[in-house]
Amino acid sequence: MRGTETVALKNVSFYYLDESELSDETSADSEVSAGRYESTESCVQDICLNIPAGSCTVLCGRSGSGKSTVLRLIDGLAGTFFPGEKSGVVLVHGTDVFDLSPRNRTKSIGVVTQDPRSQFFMGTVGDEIAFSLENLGTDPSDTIKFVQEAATLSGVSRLLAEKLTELSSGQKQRVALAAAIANRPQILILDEPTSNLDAEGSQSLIKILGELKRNGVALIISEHRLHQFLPVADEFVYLQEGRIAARWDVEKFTSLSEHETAKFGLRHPDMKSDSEIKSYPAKDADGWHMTDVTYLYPSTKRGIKGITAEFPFGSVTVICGENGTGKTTLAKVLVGAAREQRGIVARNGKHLSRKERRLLSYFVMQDVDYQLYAGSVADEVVLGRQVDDALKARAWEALAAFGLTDLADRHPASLSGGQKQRVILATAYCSDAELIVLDEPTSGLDGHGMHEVVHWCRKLASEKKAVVVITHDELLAQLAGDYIVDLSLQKRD
Amino acid sequence: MKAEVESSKNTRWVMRDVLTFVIFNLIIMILITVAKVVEDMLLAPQNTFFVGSWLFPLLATPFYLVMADRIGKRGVLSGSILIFGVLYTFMGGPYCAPVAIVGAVIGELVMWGKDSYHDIKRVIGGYIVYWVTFGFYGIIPYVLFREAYMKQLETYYNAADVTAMIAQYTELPWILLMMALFAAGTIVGGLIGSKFLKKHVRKAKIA
Amino acid sequence: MNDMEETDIKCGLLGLDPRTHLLSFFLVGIVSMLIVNLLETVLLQAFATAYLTANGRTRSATRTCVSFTVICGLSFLPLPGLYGVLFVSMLHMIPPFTTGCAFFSLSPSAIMCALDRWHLPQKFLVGICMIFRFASILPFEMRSILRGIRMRGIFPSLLGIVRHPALAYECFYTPLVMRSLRLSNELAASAELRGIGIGTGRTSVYHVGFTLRDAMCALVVTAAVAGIYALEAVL
Repeated sequence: MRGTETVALKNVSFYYLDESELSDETSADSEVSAGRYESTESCVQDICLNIPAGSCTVLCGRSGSGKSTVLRLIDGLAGTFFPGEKSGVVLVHGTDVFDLSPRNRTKSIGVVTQDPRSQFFMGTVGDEIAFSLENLGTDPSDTIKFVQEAATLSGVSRLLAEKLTELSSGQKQRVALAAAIANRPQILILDEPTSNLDAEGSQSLIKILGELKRNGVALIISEHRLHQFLPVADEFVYLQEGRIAARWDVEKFTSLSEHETAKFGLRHPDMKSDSEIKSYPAKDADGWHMTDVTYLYPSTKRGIKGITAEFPFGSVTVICGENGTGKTTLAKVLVGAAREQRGIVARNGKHLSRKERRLLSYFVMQDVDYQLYAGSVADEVVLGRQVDDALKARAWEALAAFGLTDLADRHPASLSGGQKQRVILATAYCSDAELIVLDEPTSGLDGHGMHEVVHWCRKLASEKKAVVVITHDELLAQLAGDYIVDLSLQKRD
Repeated sequence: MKAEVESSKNTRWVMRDVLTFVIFNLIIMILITVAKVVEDMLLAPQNTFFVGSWLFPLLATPFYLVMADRIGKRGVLSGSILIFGVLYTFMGGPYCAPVAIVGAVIGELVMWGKDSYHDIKRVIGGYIVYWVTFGFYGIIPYVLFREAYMKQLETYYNAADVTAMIAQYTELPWILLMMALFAAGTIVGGLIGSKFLKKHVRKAKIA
Repeated sequence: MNDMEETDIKCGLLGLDPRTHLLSFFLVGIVSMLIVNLLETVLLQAFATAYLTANGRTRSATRTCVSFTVICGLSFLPLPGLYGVLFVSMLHMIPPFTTGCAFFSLSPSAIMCALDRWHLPQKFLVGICMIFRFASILPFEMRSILRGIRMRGIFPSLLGIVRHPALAYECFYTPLVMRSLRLSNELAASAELRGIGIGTGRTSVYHVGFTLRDAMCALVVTAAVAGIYALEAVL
């Protein structure tokens, strides 16, 4: 797979004609999210990048800084699929990306996005990996050979006959990678590839990227969890408000202190909580208790077994563990979405039925799009309840507490991911729920975003609610948790 | 690689339009299938006539409005009629194919004109053609297989009884009532859908 | 490549081109509309079952056969109103549906490649591919939406839905529409990058192409359905 071609962006500026295309780029504090965006403003400006073959460039920056736009410029979608005005030139193998035929573009560039659901077209793993090759009209015997190579490199060669819907998120991501590299592109673009992966999954992915880099593939990665890419990265490019504000080689990036990365809004592995994390709350602490609870899914016989845990009011309990250890299953039993097969769930010693748990709890799903229904943020906060003066006052208090007052009239679907999350948290704050579960709240968030999530969790806990955070993000667990329930340890015990 | 900018102003369908078309038509089909199953479980066939005729368009029209508004190009209505016809054809009813073709042609003629798919009233009016075509999928078997079920049911019923049973799907006044119920359901569904379109889709600037 | 070759079972024991399945479906469907007697309908279903089984879909064939038997039995009961008529109509729909299962159980890759050889428009082929894709995503999306509604506690019980049907519909409608619009956007972008718009000449790792087997199969199916129709005329 060796090649000498490069990607070059020469003084590229771009702005979207359609404001709704910016939904992936908006952040909590940007001009865009506040509705003050004017269509003549650029989304990215004066971008100059030169990415040689066999190198790895990591784009970093706060949400809304333009990382996704730069990736879209390289793969040629910005200005075509996403209408907009572009100046400057983007060269791929020395040719303007707009002049590449669809065939050459598919051959040259492989793309892996954050969410595998938005890039799978077929039913089985083998069919999915072969898809691009078949579109290119590749001879079937060559297709079979290339599929096998890509599957072996990505570690999914035993899964070729499996249905995509039955894979774990880590497996899906590896299939997406295999599908992107099957036609041997010289350029591979990855948009937050580790956001849904645990530590082991991320390490596995990075090893594969290292192998691709050795084979001469130019890697361009957009990420928030940056330090794990140190073994493969050659350059870190920091974007701020659509411009390149800083560049670091590996040595310089490694030498950045926690304070310096915080200034940039980036994550740093040494980020610490001010308070000490305890494993177990005091025995007589008020809250919910889970004793020897078992729930195994009938079809797979996987789930949780004999789990005992405490979830005190007024504190944040983190449920962590690798993918597949049962974190979400535990939370589902806790909120009454699943009936425990053994054990009990109690509140201050009194057993809680499933119905009672459902009434007293609130579950914020990882994808909050499934839980937004109203036409405005203000309506969302009081949805389904009898609106009286007391509730109105509480609702405004909730909006103020989560910095949403200016967005009260906005449609929730028009907000950024972080803002949507805050809307749901404000709704939880306003509700009568005393136990609130957040499922992977920092997936795809930068350092600043993660600090915000920690802040909001604390806000909820200050209202004497029991906040439960499910995460495989070790940094979030360190920052947010008063108590830790580590399912990996419980399983080993 | 030619740029496909400002796709909403082109009359040619782009990839996004195709995917939007498929996903929303599938949603409509799933909704109708679920509603039909529930309806069949709760009601006898002669009573489902009175419920399904307005319930199905009531549920489906809000989704159709979003699709029509989002794509906004010729072929949305005819394509929707054809895709449903293809589904019914593969469900075991090859007779649906010619009915779908006729319905698609009439539907697209009804929607002829510039920007018709952004006029909510016209979209709702056009969608009534969709449901009239759907109604005929139900009527045709009673005509086509008449001899077959006459023969089979003659054990228990005489010809006059069978004729009375199927009157709802073969006699003109009943057929007109069915179409009127379809129209009513589509109009009410359209009113609801129009409200949702403005309140959600256009306000959020997703479409 | 053994795993992928094993999935070649999608071509079935007969290893037919997808278009041959389409032809078989239409032939069985046409005759199904023309025959009247129960005996011939049963023979047609038996043939359709054999066809599906020979194409490696034994479980689907068994299921359709069981459905046919149940409905056949029900059609003999003296049920009031339109039931009898309904069941007889369904009896005539099951044989073509059974045959059609042979086509729909194929990989989208094989179907797209076969239809591409008829020079059908690329966007039509993409639509076909997306039907398969969305058909598996949509139930998941709908279940997630229902789960989301439950987990937010908007309707603590089913009675709440009955009391507020408009709100319930809006809670289902809004996220489904938003997710669908977003999904169609994301998948369309991905489709461009995966080369779906390249044009004709796509290939498939599955067998696509007419061989002697297809000719023989077309002959057998035509003879069988014609024979069943003729049997009715004779009897």
